[in-house]
Amino acid sequence: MTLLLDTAAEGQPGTHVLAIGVGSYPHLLGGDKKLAKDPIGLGQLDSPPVSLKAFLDWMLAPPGNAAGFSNHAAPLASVEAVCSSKAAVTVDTPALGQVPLEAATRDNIQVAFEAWLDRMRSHPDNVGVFYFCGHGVMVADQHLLAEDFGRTAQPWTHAFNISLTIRAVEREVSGAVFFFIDSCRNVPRGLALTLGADPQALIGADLKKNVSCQHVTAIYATGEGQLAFAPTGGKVSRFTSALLCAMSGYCGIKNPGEQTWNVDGDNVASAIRTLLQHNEPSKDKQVSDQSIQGPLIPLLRIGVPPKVMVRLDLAPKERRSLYELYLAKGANRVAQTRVDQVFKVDLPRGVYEVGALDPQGALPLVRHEDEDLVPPMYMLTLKSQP
Amino acid sequence: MSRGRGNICGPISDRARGIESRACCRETVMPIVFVHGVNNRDGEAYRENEKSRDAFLKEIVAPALGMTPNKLQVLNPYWGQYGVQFAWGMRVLPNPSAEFEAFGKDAEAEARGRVAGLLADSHASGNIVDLAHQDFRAAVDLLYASAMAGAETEEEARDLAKSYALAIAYAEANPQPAWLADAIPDNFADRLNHAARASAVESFGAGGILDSLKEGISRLINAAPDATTELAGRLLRKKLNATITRFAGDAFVYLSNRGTVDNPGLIVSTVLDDLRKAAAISKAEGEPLVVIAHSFGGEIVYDILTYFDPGISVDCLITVGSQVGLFEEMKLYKVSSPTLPPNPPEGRVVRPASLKRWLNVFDTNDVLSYQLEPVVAGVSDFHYDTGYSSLGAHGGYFMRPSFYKRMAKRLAQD
Repeated sequence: MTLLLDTAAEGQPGTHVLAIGVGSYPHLLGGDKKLAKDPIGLGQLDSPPVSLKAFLDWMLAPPGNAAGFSNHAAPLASVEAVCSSKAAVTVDTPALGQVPLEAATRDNIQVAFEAWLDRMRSHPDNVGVFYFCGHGVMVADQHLLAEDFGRTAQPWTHAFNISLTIRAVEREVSGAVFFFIDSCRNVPRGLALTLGADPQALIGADLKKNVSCQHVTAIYATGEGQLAFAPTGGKVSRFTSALLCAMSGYCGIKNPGEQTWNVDGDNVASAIRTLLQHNEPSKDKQVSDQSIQGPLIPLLRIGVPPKVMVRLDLAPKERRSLYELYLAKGANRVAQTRVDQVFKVDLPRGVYEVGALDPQGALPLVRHEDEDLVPPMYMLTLKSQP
Repeated sequence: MSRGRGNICGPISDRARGIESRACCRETVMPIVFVHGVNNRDGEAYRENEKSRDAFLKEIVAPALGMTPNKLQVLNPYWGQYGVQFAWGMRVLPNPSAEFEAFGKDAEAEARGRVAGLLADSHASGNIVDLAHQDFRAAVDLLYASAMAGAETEEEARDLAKSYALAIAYAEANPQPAWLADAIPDNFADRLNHAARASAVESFGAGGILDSLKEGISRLINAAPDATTELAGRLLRKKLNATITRFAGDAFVYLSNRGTVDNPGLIVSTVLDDLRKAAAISKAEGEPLVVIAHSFGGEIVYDILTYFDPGISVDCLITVGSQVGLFEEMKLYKVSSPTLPPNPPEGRVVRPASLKRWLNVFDTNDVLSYQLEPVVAGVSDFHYDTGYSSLGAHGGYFMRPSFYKRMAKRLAQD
């Protein structure tokens, strides 16, 4: 396990992060060790180490950065990570400089998880973040695969049951926990038809205990039975991109009476759904599955209002270069004049007048008053008729 | 001279020239009519055959013709209900017991039964890795045929057909890939799928195609003992008896009930309706009309194009495992004339005027398929080895994915 940050203050709540990325699977297709008897079609992944590093860089970004962790009620207290990749992954930390990450084997994940859970138990108002990026499968429960999956004839001893782990964590801590699971959730026939293929949870769920956790958000990259995707060539995955984008100022609700905007399970989940829907115009659709329980407890508390990603277009396209596309709120007005492309701009949330006008006055005015721009995105194609 | 994709009408026609000049994937609708042969009765097996055939036509043949797969409209006139009825349920057969049902009643059991038949007919072993060491392409073909036998939806069938196109291209480029050396049946599909896959995205899991392929392998493994046992022998004898009996029965029923131009019989009407629908689509869309006729379906189409409606313009007729030539030799068509040609065996009867191109596919192992060139002028005979023996070959063409690939190639060429 690799502790990248440990600044917990005794008696104070904090946010504790555990992040796992698995791109290298030596016993799966394309790996350099003995191939698993049944690799269930899984091979090496380029994206998880890159996605994990993007996630960690975001978490560890210096205060004051436009994008990065911010929560004055539960400041960042610890960050722990493990990662398996073809090339070593190092993370730039505030206190320790460049730190290489240990491999995400099943044992290392177990040790890191138990340490994270101990830290989470240290204060009743702690906030926990559990992030995983790598191969996953499911039948009744969701299972995540460690680096050494397939090393032995019982491959599932090198995976873990995240569904039961979440149920257990709910009984072990009392603050809020956010699970971000960036993996596939398809149901391999081999797993479904194999008795004894039951990965263990990282901790047993003691059903004698009541659920003690005040709030749990679990956001999965994709729906049951579906795949999660990343662009090829070692790029950040679709889900992690959407998560980081949502947390970087594209969601949040104002805390009454304060100049603080809360990013909680509800609004980050909603933003991720929207971003996944609009940012990936591919045939491989990815629809996030989400579960939010208990009163909302912010993951982030941000000092600036959230932004809205505006995408304003005009149809028919041949008229686009003849118009000025604009958005106006009171005296504030932004416009794109006679440019043959979609007008892309970030604006604070609010009610705007949105329209298109012909500077020459020949073409009809298109105007929509009282358009509600809500994070993370506002998309509209204005129609110039006739 | 390169004729390019979409040149399905032989000597290049204006219509074909039009196709050549268009963009890679056309958005117009192109009709294909598939006319089945004898011995087809509506049921699980018939519907699954139709699903897999449609999928291969859309995913393998359509792209070769420059078509968007979804724009290929396959019409499947089903006339089996008007075929022969056996009042005693073929009790006259020497071995009337329904051995095929020994495999079970559910869909998977039926699929496994079909794969057992496929193995028994082709004498292939159920060990896909052994077969791959001998002939990797044949192993890929058999694997996809076995997987397709269990396809439950059109989507699954089409995904399999798309995946087959990638896998067979890989097998052609890599006749003995290095990974085959230590492959085992448990991971053969994983490794083939991994090696052949081409994707613009990385997925954090495996897709459903792999499960379909693994089911195909599982069927091969589990069907192999059935295919080599006494049960398979009895099954084959039963099939042989029943097939020949129903073939003769359907043919007799057709010949006695086909009717006239003014009052066509039910079998003719069923096929004629879809041919006319397809001809209308072809005309409206400016796309060619392709008709595929299997076995006795060839005789029905020939009768229609020469007698019942010679006005239907067909750009290409593909008869597969058919007996059109034999029936002309016996002078059994409505327009057959005992004096034409005047100088047999030298002369030929003319190809129907409304038919621009005619390909006839036969397998020398198929005892019910015949050549056509010796009897009809302006046709091209092609041999296709289904890999099956005796009667298995007759129904084997459309189970083999490679058949569609060859068909696509022929359609796209002269």
